[in-house]
Amino acid sequence: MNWPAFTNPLMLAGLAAVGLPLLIHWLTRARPRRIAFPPFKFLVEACAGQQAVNRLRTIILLIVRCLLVLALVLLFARPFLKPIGAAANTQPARRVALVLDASLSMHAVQQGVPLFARAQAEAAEVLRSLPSGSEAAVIFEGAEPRSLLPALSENIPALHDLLVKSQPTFENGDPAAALTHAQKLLNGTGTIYVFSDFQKSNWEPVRELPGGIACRLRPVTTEAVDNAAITAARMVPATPVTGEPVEIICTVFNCSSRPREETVRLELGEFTRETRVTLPPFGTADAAFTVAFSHAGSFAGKVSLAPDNLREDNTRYLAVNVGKALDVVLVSDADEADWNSSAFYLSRALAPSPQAAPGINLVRRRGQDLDRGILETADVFCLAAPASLSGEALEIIARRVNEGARLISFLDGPTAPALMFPALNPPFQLQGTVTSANGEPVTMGTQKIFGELDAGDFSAARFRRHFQNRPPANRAGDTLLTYPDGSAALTISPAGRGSLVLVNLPLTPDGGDFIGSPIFPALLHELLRALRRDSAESTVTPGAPWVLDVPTAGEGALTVMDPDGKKVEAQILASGRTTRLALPPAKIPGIYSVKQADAVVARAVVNVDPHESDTRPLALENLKPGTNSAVTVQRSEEEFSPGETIRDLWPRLAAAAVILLGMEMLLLALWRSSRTAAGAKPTEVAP
Amino acid sequence: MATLQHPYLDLAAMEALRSVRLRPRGAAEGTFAGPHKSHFRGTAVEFADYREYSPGDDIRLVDWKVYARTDRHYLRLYDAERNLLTYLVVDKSGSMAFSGAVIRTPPKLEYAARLAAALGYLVLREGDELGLSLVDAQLNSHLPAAAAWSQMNRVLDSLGNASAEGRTDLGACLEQVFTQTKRRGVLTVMSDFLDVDARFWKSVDLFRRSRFDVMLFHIVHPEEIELPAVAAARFLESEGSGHFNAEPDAVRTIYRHRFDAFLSEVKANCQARGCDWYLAKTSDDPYGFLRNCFLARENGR
Repeated sequence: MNWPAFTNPLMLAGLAAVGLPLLIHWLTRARPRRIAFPPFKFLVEACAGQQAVNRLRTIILLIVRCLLVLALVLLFARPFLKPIGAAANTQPARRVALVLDASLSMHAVQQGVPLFARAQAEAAEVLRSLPSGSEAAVIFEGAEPRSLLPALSENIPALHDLLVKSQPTFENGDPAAALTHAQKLLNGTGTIYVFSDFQKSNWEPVRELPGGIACRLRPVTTEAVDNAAITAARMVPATPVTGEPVEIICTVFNCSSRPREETVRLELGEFTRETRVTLPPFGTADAAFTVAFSHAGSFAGKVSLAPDNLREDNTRYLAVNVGKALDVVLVSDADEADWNSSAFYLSRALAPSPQAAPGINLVRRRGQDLDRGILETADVFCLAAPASLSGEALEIIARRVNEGARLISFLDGPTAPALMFPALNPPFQLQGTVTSANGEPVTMGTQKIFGELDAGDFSAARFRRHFQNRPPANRAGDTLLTYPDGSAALTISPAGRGSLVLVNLPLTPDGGDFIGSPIFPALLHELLRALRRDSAESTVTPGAPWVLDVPTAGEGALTVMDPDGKKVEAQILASGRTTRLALPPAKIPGIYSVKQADAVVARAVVNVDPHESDTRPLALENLKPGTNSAVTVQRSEEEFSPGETIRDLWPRLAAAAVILLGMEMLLLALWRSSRTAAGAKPTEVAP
Repeated sequence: MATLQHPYLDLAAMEALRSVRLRPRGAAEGTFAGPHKSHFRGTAVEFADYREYSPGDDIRLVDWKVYARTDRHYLRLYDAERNLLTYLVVDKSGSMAFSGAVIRTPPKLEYAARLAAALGYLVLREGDELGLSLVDAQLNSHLPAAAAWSQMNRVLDSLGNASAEGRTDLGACLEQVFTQTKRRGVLTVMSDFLDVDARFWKSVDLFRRSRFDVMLFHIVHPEEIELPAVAAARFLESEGSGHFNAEPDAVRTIYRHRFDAFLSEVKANCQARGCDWYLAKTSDDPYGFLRNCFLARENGR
């Protein structure tokens, strides 16, 4: 037997309003004038039957209106039918935790239905089928597990209501965390239902299901959803300057068993480009665009594909700050006019003329002339064996490199050991000076920054002096050029957020014929390019807290706006040359703007996790059940519980309310029209 | 005549009735000589017949020329012209108090009284005799016919003192009026005729058989024809205790058909009996209405 229960029983207080139509009728009924009317008998004859009809109409109208109010009150109370009595008592109360995959991949549409909607419907069905007295929890699997109610609850209707109103997130899924959370809520007894697409990329780390608890796995799909996605988009260089060619490289992933062609569209600042890529089955391909910004500033944009089954991963957002020029400070004590000095060659190689060195703003300083302003603003430090450097200067340079600046240290002279910057974790230590009358050649190291054809150019160069060193095996990857004795001639290594280049090559003509050869300026510029190939893509994804560095400018408060234009609460962690803001987990991907006094001072992007684009499911057989736990894989859509289910009555009530409202309006219209017809003007009677 | 001052008699407005006269359709049988043709032989100028002299006849009527030719005495007879007897019967029952719910007019009794006063004035102006009966369930007040101007004052006083109350029994009242009449004349009944029944029509037949010229003035209020323009009302019986809630808009057409049928029935009964029937609305000018009635009557309509 079914009996109605109510989700919002307090709304039943509104049943008192059922009498409202009667009250309104009584209050607003026509208060008839008393008229002594001589032709009374004719009126009575005319009204014979009419009055009864009117009374009947009034009663019908009042009944319809009372029923309408009743239906509305019940509608707000959200009634549902649940088993009671014998039917309810036949099933024992249960404890269940429903884990719903709410990650980005659940946005995917398969056969016209989003996977999340499928999971949502089946989870709701489980809730409805629970016997009375059961306790349940619904946990959404995202970057962090999120429980709809903080603990197991007997308020199943409320849980059901929250469940059906929920939406999937843009976050990556962490099934292990969700299962742990569910296990904690159940506290050892109960059943975990998992509704997911069981993406291999998310579920592979889950080696074992929770122990001691029954798990019922319900895959909402058994095959990969055909999907194409942009899984990465990076710019080289990441911080370009005006006029400098910038390469934007997008990685496009084809998650389907057939090759496909996709059109990649770039919209960035003033640029709109399109290119086509051919993708192998379950493979990736790169699409590259080259642009050059004509002016400095902060630009944001996106690369996108045509919409498909999972359109949420078809767009990747980009933000770039274009600078005016690269500030290079050359620190050398040699005379720039002396053609026999390293400074002469370095300055000419770096900037033969303003036109020949686009994007480079070269500043030359002696070691003792360095001031704090120069050091704090330079993008690249070139230390050409200066005779002396103050400790403060060395400290600032090391800090700046850690913050993202680049350092090229030329080890040619007695001050070389001081230029090794131990704080920046150099790849080798100097052991001693090696001199050679005939000169030593260099060969290509492990890391390649030069093309194969360029390698031949070094074969002719001879180097008569260098510092002997022995890079450890684990730093072999940092070596670009090496001497025959195994010493590193040229290394490039990351240092903090910046880079460190150690040049163990003589920079004067007496040290070798290297600096006079045409490959010297080429090497220098190639190094600058290589140093700036820091194209690491922003890895901020929805669902994770993140920080944002904003250049400090002005006094106004910083306001962070999300892609929908809503304000995001940000907390200032530190401020200096840049202000570091701590931001709450982003809810949606897109371009986040930082405004100061209504001007955009910085932009940052949040992109979806590329793991979510790979929709290939895991073979559930590979999931090991936990200790003392039973795992059931429910592959069909059969109901989880064959017992009586909770049935929502509100759709029927809504339909009834609409019908009653329509009936009331129809009756009023009909009766008014008949009354108007009955009240037609009479014809005149002639005497 | 100069002393005639009464709310029911507007002499200035009655100028519209200066050229009309109430003429009987049959012969007049008034007591006195008057302007109307009668069945009596008298001394008027119009020759009627000869009759053989019998003792006691006025010898001034003997036609001496005929005596000279025939040696027999014949009297020369002339038509006598008599005045007219007009009996006014005014219904003063409770239903005559209706003056409208939305459209306000004088009460029907007042309208009937104005008509009666105007008619009485016209009658007395011609030297005819005028009688008045106020009726409801019974003959309430009766003024025997008289031709003096003082009768006008009595009539006005009687009309002024009348108040609309009580039930109606026109049939019985007309029978009583009939017993009070001595000679035939014109009977004018002013009523709303809401309770006319067979007895009433028998009473009318009684008058008609006695060669009375019968005129029925049917007094109605416009709202009695079209129902008051109110959304809903509790209608009370004028001459009873009945009441009834109704929405006039809902029943107007049916009511109107029913009331039309009633008017048509009264009119048809009048026409069948050779009576004149005039429908007077209380919203109309009584003198204009009366003038139209007389003109229609003179034109034979």
